[in-house]
Amino acid sequence: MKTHSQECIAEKLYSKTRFTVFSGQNIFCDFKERIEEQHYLTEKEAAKIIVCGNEIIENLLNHGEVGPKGITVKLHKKRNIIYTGFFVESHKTFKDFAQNYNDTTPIGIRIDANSRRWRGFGLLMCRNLLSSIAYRPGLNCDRVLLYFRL
Amino acid sequence: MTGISVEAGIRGKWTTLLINGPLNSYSYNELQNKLNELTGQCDIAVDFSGVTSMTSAGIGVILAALEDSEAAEKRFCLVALSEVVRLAIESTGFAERFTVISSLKDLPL
Repeated sequence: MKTHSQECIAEKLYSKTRFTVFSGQNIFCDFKERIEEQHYLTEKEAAKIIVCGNEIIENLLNHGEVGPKGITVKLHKKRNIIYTGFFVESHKTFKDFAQNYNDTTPIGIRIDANSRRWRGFGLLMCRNLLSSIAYRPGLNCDRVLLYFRL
Repeated sequence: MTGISVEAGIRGKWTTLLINGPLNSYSYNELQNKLNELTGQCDIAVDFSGVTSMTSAGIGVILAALEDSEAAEKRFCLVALSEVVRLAIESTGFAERFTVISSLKDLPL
């Protein structure tokens, strides 16, 4: 029989969460709050997931891919890796993007003279914080999969 | 999307901008308008103590404001970054370009 401390250690090593956030005025705050609630994540781990997750959510919203079912987030922390999946209803824009994306896709940071701001940081931020990122289009559901090696 | 509020103030030679709310592509306009008004005219300290999260859209705006301030030989600094905001800036590789202080009390004269 496991002791309480063994159970706590096991919970910290292998933990899973699943939740949904909906397109609307509080989506970024909702996502951040849900991640921060996961007691098996350290502050640093949670911060990395929030930063990368915000970029993914922002892109999904900007490209019109979030339907009424929202974005389902699955989080799974194992011994040496954290997997975070974002699941949305499938969309043609996503499929087109995913087919053209690979690890060598140029990041393309540039100053936008019209809007007076730098653009293209999102992909750079994700590449710097993640071990890998995958875009998987599907018939019913598109997936963005993030892997953080601990 | 939830907007942000941007409250301007004066502290010594600095113009301070206190931001509240999440800074992302739906809310950055408020900050950008204020920065466009002020950048190059005065030293600016952007207080992030009320910023809950920031995406690359927010970083794009503050980096452009930093460059405009440098070009006009004015000071520009970021104040009170949370762990999430600090990590977002660091992950771009541009963190060293910014002057960051922990509190408005620490603003240089």
